[in-house]
Amino acid sequence: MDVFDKLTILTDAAKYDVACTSSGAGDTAPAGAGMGSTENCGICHTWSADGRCVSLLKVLMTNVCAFDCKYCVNRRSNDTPRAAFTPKELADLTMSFYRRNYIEGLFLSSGVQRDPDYATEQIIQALELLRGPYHFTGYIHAKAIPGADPLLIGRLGQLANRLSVNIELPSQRSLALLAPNKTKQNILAPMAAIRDGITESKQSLVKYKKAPKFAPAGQSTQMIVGATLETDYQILRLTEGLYQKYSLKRVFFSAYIPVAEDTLLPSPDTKPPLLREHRLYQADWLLRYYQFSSQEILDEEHQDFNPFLDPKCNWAINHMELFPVEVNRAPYEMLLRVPGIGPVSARRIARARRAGKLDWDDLKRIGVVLKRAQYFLLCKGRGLPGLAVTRQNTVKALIDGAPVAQAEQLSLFGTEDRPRLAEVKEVAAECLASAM
Amino acid sequence: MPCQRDVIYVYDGGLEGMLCCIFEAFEKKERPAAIRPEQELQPSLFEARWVETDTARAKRVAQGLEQKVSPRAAWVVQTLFLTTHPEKELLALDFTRLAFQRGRQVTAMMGHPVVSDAVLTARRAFGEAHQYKGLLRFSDVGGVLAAEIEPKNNVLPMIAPHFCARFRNESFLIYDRVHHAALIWQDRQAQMLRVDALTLPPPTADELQARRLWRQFYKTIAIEARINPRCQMSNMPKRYWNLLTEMQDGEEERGALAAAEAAGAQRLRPRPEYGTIEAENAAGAGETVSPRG
Repeated sequence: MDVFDKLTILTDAAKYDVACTSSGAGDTAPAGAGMGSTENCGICHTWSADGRCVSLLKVLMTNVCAFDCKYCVNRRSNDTPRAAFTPKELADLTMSFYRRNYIEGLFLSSGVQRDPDYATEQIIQALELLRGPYHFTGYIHAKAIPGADPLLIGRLGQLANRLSVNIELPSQRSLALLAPNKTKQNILAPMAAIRDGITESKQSLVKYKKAPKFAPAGQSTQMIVGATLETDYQILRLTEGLYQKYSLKRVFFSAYIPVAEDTLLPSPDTKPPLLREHRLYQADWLLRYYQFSSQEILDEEHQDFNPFLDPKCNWAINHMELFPVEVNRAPYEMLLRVPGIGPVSARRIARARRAGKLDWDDLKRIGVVLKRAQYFLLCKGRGLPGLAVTRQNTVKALIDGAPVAQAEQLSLFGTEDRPRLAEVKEVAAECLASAM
Repeated sequence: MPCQRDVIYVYDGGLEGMLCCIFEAFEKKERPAAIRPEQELQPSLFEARWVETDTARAKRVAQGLEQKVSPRAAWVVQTLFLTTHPEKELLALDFTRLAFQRGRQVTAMMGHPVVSDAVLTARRAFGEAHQYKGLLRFSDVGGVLAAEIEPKNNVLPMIAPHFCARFRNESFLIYDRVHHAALIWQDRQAQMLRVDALTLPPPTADELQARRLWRQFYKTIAIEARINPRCQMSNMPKRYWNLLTEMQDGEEERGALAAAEAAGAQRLRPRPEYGTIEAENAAGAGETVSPRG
């Protein structure tokens, strides 16, 4: 089998892995031999037909796997072509792509060939070739395989910029059901080991400039959404816990795409729950950048996201007593809670209002988008001239168009008397406003 | 307030020249009707005044901005020079005047029309430069890397430090088709040249193989159940596509390769020289760029 076929098989097997970020590694510009640098903000090199950014060469070392996780294309019982890169083939391919500026680095994962230790050793061999004889100083993200020896994971951390352990499914029960070879314990153990390795390395870097670095871009994880029955609230609580306990940089969500028929799985003609995944990412951003807690976004009574409103708008609508806020006075934290204002706009407002009081025109000029924010703000004590702020039109401005359009497509009306999108939006707004 | 004069400043088209125009306007306490590089000067009713480029004067403006105002203000003026704003020189002058009046808070005064115009224009150019860090594609031409770009703004000086640091031990060339400029990195030395035309030799078999692998990877990595062309296009506008390896189908290349093979394998051997460069001793020639430190 030549490299072309191997690349095809092993890319196809890796594509359901979500992470493709190259950020967080700091700005480095090594001076010595070899090739490669990293930028803290990360660089996207292209966008594939599904709209996802491609920044790393995302492949598996091998898709031969001893495990039999029901949701996975590479499970032992699946009849699919198998292949394995040799460390040299993979290193050559990476260098060839990197040199032509196709990629920002390598994202290497692997099926569990023989046992977790053997699979990890294969990954290490490839990375040692890249970091050693090839002097590659670009970005590397490696997967730690649950159950591998801590010493091997330690070595992996010295070679890679970022490590990740997939948590796979949001609860122990689901794991037992769908991934019989994995347990909560052997997923969380390497996660904790990596966290400790990072902390330790950061501490010794304070003391010694040349102390070895351990996964300087931190660790991340991912879980599959929609294969099992957890609610959004449970997933969000878990996510928050992971950020707090394991200091993760990112938690990724992957809408389940049916790859197998099994009585324990959703039926193969299920559409991937893309909207749900989208809402989870929105909530994830609220946790990381908007100083929200999971309790504010969802709670015991409201276990699932509102499909028509994003989580931030949903929160705002339920807390109308806090609005409108005065742009020139509101603390930064409160500006962040205004629908339509994110960290960038909030920072710009905070900086610009030091130079003078802001009015509505100034807001537009500094680049604050008012489409949604106008209903929640006052400038110098006045609302936007000519704008009537009622519950009705506030809700209408906040409604997310995409799910409404979807609902329209699914509606039971015939094609002739199907209501127009605008009308559907009107009705949805009325419903939401009356529920407030 | 400087008095408005019916005069057009003409300069040599370089950054230093533009800074000297700013110096001139400060010295004469006036605001010209326009500032134009000599290449773009059109006949008009106004008197045209040639402003000589003087490195010492340019340095005083640049250092003044950096030290008396803020590094960010200096960045705005320098980046403005690289943009396609039709009145970038005059905008830089107005911004500089405001900067010296208001001090370091000037870049925060986004409510001011001059500041918002200047900062947003500079930020857009910076954004385009960042895009090109990812979307630029090199070809291996006999051991030397060559890339072509078609940017709106003159991004080459902005992306140079990044590529020089990343490919520090390679030799490469980046040719800007729109601004007819080339960056050449060789023996850890960078050079900016004015280049009017560039023809690259046909790709070798190795190069074609790398492109083929990359296209296959690109095709395979997309998940069919999530195909979303609008998302793809909003992230990667179509104007970048005609220079992206993965957006070409590669048919033509394979045809060319087959023809070359039929004609004899000799042409495929790596060649030491890379294309034909018609370098001209014009503005910006011989400028050196240091790698990001």
